[in-house]
Amino acid sequence: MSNNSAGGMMSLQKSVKQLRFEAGIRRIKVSQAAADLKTFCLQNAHKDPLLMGVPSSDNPFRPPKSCALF
Amino acid sequence: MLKRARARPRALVPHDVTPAASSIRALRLQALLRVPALLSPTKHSSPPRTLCFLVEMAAQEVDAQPSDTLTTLKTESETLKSKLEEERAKLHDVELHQVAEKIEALGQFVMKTRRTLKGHGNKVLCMDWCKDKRRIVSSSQEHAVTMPCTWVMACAYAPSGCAVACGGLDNKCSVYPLSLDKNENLAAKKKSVAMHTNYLSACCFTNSDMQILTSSGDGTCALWDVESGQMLQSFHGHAADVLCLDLAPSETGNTFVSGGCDKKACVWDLRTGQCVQSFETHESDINSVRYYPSGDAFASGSDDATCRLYDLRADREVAIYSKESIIFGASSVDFSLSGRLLFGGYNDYTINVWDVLKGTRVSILFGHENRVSTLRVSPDGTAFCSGSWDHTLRVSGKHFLIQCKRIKHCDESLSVCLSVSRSGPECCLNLFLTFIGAAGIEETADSNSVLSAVEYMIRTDCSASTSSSNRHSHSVRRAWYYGMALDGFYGSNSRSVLVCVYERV
Repeated sequence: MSNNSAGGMMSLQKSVKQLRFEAGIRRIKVSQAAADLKTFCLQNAHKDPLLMGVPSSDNPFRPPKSCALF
Repeated sequence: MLKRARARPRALVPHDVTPAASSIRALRLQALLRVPALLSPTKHSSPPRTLCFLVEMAAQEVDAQPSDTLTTLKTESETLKSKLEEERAKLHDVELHQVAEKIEALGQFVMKTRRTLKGHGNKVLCMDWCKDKRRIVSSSQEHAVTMPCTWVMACAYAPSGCAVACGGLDNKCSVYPLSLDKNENLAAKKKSVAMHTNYLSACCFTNSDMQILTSSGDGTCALWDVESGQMLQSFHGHAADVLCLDLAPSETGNTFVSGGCDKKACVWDLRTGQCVQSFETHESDINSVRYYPSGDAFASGSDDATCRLYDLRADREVAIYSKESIIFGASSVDFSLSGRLLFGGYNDYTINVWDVLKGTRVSILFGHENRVSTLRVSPDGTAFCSGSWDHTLRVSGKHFLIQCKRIKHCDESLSVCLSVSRSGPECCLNLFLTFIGAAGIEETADSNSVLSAVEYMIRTDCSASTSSSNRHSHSVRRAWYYGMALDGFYGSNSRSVLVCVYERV
């Protein structure tokens, strides 16, 4: 088990390495990212039952009808 | 295209967890549980499997420049951090809600009670949605799978529907195969898969039944092979307990996101173990993370009373969902199918529904009588289920709300985990709900015993009605456990994993 300063060094080295890596990744503009999120939402909105609700015939929670079990 | 570091063993410090933070969390857990002696968070008498593996890896060191001193490293660290902020800020040309201005606002989110069902009498700990659509049976005590000496904090349902995984304060994640034979002692068939050095906070099967991803109070996440119990990959980088994780939707690749007590959310590469992105804008523990349906973003819920949206391609936080009136932490978040709505369960007993794009609150749902500890949207998107310390599960949707009151079996509740099983190809709107009668559980129409409850098989076009006494020989598409359909299960603090079936009403 390393002593405190050596352990501190190692952890700092690790975090510096990680930061170097993260600083180097490629990013896109928020405007583009936001536009894509918006497009995805709008395109899928009609498929979203919690957003749109469902027609009564498909609604699994419509008032129960009687049904025979056999 | 990310510039990736060549995959190589990482230099490891055996205890990445800040002892103070971890102890605080452990103390909090202890206080909540009122358990006299809790496991010591950082020490074990014999090194568990994971630590041995880690120590081996540490032996293969990587570059340590001789000229590195503590000061130069610290300076470089600071410089890099500001550079990261600068780079992110450069691309911050607009706010998400500005982009969303022109979109129509959402109408009122209406909820109606269709039925109130009486259930058992205890706090809900964890719950898993049914795979196909339907059921989650709640079993009586003697049918439950018992995990000795542990509080169940995490649970997950295998994609095939043939197994469930759960774990908690036992520091392990165990997999229980689900069986058709009701006489089989399931607890005996349990397989211990994951071993951490602190509590298990979350678990999740990857795309198959064969691998499990876990996160733990020991500050790490790990990927395990179910069959051999071997750790395939470990993920280090959090400075404190990891509280939650979520796998990216399968189309978007092999990553997952984790959130922890260090206020950081990290995105990881499953294959290399590398943390590819991290986000540190929350002001307190991150209790829940969930990917946006497209996989390009994720949301987080935190004790700082906010939920936030982080875009992975812009590499920054793009929205904060908060209100001055909301001062309690968010324990659990999930998106609706299109990603337009974000549901957040909070410790002030409410569920807030947010318009993801506009950043505004669409609705606030009351009804729970204690903190909402877990929340999941069903695989087909028709409803979401919230579990709470008030012993109930509530399934809510656009036109209905069904409340199952009083779940039995639990003495105390620490946390509830809700695991949604992947929906099959027949995913549709046939989600149901009802509690089948069992000891301590009443159905609104009748009280039924578990066995006769089993006997009614609800077809997709029928609603529940009274049970018949004949066994049906229709096709069993799901595994049965003690005669109950196991499309989901929930776990509780009474140290058992329970299987709970909801039938459509």
